[in-house]
Amino acid sequence: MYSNAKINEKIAFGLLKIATGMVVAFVLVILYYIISNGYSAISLDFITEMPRNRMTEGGIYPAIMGTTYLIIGSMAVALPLGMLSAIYLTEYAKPSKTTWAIEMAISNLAGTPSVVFGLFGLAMFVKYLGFGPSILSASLTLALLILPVIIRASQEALLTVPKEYREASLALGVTKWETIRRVVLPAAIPGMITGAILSIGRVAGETAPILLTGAAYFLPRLPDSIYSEFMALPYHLYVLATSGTSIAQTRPIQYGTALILLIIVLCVNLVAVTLRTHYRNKLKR
Amino acid sequence: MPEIYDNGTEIEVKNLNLWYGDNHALHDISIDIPKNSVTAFIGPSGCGKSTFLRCFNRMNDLIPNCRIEGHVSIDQEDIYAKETDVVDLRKRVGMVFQKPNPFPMSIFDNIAYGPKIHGMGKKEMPRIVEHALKSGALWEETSDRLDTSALDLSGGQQQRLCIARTLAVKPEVILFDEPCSALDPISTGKIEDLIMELKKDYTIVIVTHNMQQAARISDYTAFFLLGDLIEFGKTNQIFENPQQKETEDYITGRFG
Amino acid sequence: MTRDQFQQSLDTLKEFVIEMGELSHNALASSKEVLITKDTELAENIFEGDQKIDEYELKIQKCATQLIARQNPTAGDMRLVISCFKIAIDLERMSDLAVDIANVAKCMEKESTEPLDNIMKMAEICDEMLQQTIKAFETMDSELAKSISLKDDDVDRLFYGTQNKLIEMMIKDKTIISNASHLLLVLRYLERFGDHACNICESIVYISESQRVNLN
Repeated sequence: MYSNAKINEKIAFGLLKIATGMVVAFVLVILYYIISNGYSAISLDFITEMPRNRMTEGGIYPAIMGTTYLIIGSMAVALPLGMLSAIYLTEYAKPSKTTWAIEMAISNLAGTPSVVFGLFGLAMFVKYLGFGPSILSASLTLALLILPVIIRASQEALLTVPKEYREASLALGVTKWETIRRVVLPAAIPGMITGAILSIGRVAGETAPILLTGAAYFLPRLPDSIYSEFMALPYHLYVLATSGTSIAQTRPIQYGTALILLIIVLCVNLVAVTLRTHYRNKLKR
Repeated sequence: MPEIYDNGTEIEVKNLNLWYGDNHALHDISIDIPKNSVTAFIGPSGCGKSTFLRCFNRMNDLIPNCRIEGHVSIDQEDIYAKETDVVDLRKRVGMVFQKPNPFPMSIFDNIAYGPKIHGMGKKEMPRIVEHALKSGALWEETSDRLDTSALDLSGGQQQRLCIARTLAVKPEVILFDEPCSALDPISTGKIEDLIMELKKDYTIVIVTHNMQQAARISDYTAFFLLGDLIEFGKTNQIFENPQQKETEDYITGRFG
Repeated sequence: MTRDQFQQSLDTLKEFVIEMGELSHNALASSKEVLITKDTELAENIFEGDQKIDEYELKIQKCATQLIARQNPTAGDMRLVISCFKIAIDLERMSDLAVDIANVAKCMEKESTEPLDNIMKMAEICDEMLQQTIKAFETMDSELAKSISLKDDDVDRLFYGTQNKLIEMMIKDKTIISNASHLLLVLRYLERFGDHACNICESIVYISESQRVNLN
């Protein structure tokens, strides 16, 4: 019996190890594939110059900037909106049919395909509100896309703040809002940032919503306002890989673009993780 | 049996009933709690003593489905009256909880938290913090590291910090909800000494699972059972000569 | 130092015992005087003082009971509390004996031919024993307590010697029977007084060494 249990344990551990190993292996393979194919295209010119010669030469500067604007724009909208609704839903809203409906709506929103968001953005922001195909429309659309993720993550973060902190503060004769502002939020911010980190990757990588709301096929200049059209890395990559005039010739540029996209997401994540660690340490200190 | 106390009555409860939904948790409780003394609530788990304690600073308001009927007045002011400001009430009636719950901030900021929000100036803060920590018997141990995290303190120190944090708001009454149940005997002893010291300036009500603790530190003891107040009297009398059989069974450990 | 209040109560208890010991000692000292002077007024004083001593016994017992009920004393604290309870009983008996002596002395004739010397000597020793016992209790000096009990042997020796002497005298001279029999009682009381002092010493040894010894 004893040895049986031991064998079972070994098998279980073995399976877990294999599964984990496979995940790591896939990531490594993808990384290796992209880096080994893309690094030759990377140079200072590649990231600072405009595309030339029907995008078969030159850099991807406008696409890099476009994606950066999208990240900033969508975060600027979705983070405060998501955090505030999360605070309302977890701290203030009493359980009722309305709250239940709102929770359900958020869950459904999280499961909606991104192209649907794109269509909505097209109808709402581009046409109805008249923002046209622009950074603004695309950012707002992406903001809606990641809103459920941010709300969910923020709610989780708020719920993990120990009840004891709230009680301690309220028992000192502090109002509910002050309690949330000074005790609950500081403790929840690391968790909220985790939600933001997850969304950044999504914003940077989405193609369908921006395709419908403002991403340009080719634009040899930077956007001059939030109402301008723009280039973005994922769409640029898609264009190069599918509809360019010389797909084979631009292969190095494609991999280079993918690599840059990866690096941008990584960099933004790094900033977010540093921020999260900073807040966590502040809590511990 | 309303009693006339030497120091006067601080908390007056008349016919208090409390329900959680359909669960009638406290039955028609009347009690007068004396000023500047330690009153202990004892009784087995689920007897309602903590629930009753939380009626005094209306912490029960935070629980959905909790309904209270009856009269509670503190310093002759009806705390369940419509015009009562709960936030103000909680300034007057401080509370220390079972688990030490310092905020994840520095020792200084923990103490300054209440006074700052209640509008005390930055300049006065060091003096307020020092005074509170001294009253909480924690000054000597922490005066050289006020800016370090409160979470680095030991459990007993954390609990004294929580007491000091409550004192900084200058309450009249301090409620203790099993303040030593997570602490070792030495820390417990320090907290008990502190509580006995504090009764000079504050009215103290303490809920405890530990009968010996009630015996050691309280002047008056109330015994609760299944939502009823069975007996209330001087601690000497309760522990030497209880009037009710249930009380005797409980304090002699023959309960049930 | 934690448990300040507990320590305070223990100190109070000890103080009560010491004060009670001093009162008992005063009672014996006064009885000694009554033996010589047959002063009825002084005897009255002793009777009144005895009431105060009874109050002290009650106070000590109350204090000890509350300490047990509320402070859960253990180890040395527990030995102290239960011993104080016992010592209070001994001291109360001792002061009763002093009252008895004064009572008897009061009834005796002023002029007596009997050997008061030995009796006074016994009273002297008893007096000293009690004084020393109080000191031993204050300092919890078990060695001193043990040495005190040795003096009880002197008391016993004097008791038996004087008793025989008085009986002989009574056989020779029947007119002194009344006085002499009173003195026999005084002898007996003093002997008992010494025994109680020894009991207290036993309690002191128990408190400080946790050994139950028999010093009688």
